[in-house]
Amino acid sequence: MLEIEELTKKYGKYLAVDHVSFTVPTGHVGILLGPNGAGKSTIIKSIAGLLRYQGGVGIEHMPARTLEAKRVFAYVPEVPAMFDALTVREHIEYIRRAYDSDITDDEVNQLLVRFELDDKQKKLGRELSKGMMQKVSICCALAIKPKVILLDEPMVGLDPAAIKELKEVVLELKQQGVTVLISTHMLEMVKELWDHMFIMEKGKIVGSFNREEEKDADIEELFFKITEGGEAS
Amino acid sequence: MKGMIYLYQRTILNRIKYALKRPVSYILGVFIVLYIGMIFFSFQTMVEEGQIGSAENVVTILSGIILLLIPGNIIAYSKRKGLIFRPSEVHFVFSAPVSPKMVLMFAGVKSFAVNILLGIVVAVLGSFWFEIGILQALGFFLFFSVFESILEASLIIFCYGNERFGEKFFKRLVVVMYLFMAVIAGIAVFLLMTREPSFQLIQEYFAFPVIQLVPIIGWTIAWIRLLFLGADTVSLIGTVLYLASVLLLFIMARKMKCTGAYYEDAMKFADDYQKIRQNQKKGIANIPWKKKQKLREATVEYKGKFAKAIYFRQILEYKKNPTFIFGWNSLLCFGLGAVIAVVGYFNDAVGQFGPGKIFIIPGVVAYVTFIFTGYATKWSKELENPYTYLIPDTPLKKVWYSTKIEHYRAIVDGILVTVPGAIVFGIGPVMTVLTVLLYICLQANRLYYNMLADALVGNVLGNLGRSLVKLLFQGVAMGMGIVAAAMAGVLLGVETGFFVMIAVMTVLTFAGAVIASVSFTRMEVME
Repeated sequence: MLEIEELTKKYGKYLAVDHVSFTVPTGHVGILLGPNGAGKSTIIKSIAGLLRYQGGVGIEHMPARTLEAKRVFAYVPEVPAMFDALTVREHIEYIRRAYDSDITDDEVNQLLVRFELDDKQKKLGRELSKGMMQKVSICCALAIKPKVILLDEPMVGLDPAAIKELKEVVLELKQQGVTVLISTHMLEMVKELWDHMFIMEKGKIVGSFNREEEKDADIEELFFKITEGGEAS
Repeated sequence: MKGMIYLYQRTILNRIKYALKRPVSYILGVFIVLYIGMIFFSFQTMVEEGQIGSAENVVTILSGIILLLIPGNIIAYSKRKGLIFRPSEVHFVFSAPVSPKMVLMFAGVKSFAVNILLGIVVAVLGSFWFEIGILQALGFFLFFSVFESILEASLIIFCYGNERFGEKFFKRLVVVMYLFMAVIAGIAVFLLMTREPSFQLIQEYFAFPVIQLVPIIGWTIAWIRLLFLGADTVSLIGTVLYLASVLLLFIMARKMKCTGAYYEDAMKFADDYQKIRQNQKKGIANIPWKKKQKLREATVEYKGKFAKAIYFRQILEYKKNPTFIFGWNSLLCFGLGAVIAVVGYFNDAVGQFGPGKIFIIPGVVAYVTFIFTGYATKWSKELENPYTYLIPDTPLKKVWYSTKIEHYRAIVDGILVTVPGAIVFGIGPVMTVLTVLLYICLQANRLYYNMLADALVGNVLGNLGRSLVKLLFQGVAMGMGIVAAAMAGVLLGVETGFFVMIAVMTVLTFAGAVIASVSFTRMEVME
């Protein structure tokens, strides 16, 4: 479960996120939608513990900054950054040790095959293209075997095969009871994934939807209903 | 913890493996060994001939280092800029279940390594060249690498990990440190001005009890004095206070609550550092206090097509710049010109050099041009723009119009460098103009030979290899120019000699530009 309570973030005098609260229940997929500059990445970075903020963030009922919470939490940033001198395989090995993950070598191999990285295992971080870095970043996050995973614009830079794979992975994670939060502005890509949708504008949540309540309504219609005027539930 | 150890192990091993595969590493290794050897023997000669091998002198040198090092570190840590974090660490380490204090300790490894290295250097050189016993040397190594590292680690945690004292506290701490350094320097300047300047005076200055009783910084000097010069009341008190402060800071650092609030500053630093590194690779100087300039509104009339459009677009960009084509380099050139004039004036350069005074400015300029790599300007950005390659024009024209403004800048810079000295040395107008032309020529030569080295070796030999190739080309061109100038000078007079040098350099530079224009034919860089 991921709980955000009254999250507020200021950069100097600029209010980037204004008293935002929402919850993504265990085993559900939450989508954070909104135009550029709405505050999505600020929320994601705050949850990941990279920013100072006011308010509370809970991961599996634990404060997000505790080491216990971090052990079950994975984060895929919008712009991946690799260690220059570590190979693809070594990145995953680092994650296995840093999180004391019980992922086996076979599972790592399967992950690499799934994201077409098996023939690039020995490539150094600095030799990877942006798309490949994104794939490594996703594999590292999955290697944690997290209970809560945060994906910030995960589809950007991925090829169609990897996007398809990622969507399947998200659905599998959901079945395994993992809580997923995806921040994106690519509505088309998350159509079949979402359980909860939070629409942001100017640092505030201007609309929240629940798939069950909306009876599988079209995500684009819901989004434009809010952003082009109208009220949200 | 396990992850961090693995990360550092693999990074070091992979870097070594990679370096061993590159021929340039071996060349660099030879250079480093030669350089260390040169420093070692020249220092040894200096110590022997100058008879400065006393323990007092070691203490004086170390005191000077401490007075700069510790306040400098405190300032850097208080600004949260003393530790280097990279975007990869923000991505993979900050969100990992690792204690934020442990993250700081791993980031501080380089600082601790410097302490250990300094400890070894002082211990070894001290016992070789200075009158320091083995036990004293060993004691220094242990004290410096252990206690100084504990002190530094505690300071890092106190400054970075502190979530109790706010931003204001650390801003004040930075001001206090700057004031402290200013006071120390001020007293030193006062003493040097009011008394006979000598090394003895510096020794006396660092021996002042008041210096040794400055918290932490002075206490560090106190234990060094105690170890090398024997105990006196002040150094004994300072040493006790030093050990107590190390213990106290260590306990504070251990008990301090740190949830990782500093990650935000570290993330910002990682982004800035990444930009600095990228700029360094492109040869763009980093000016820490330089803020993003506000651009003015401007227009330009494009008086030409194809490659000429590059030139007019650059003009438009420069017109939007509040200082137009001028910048820090113009100031540096003016500064260099002023230094040549002032130093020449006070050292009676005219009397000493006689008719040879006309070679002073070209000599200094040629040296500076040869040694410094220059600064990257708008022309180098043209190579990153795909449209540069797509414009339907010849590569040579693209080279010319991309760099045309650089020649105008060189005219202004040349005048700034030349005129102050020319006035002071009483150099005539013809020679002054020829000197300015020579400056323009040298700058153009550097610019196009830089491009030439890029085009010919790309990234094959790394930055160092590329610089060496560029220096070789420049050296050959300058050498040929000087030989031709000397011959013409002897046969036809000094002015003709200058003119011949300019002519030879222009031809060679043009030839370099023609070959370098290959850079404008494709975007790919040789790897």
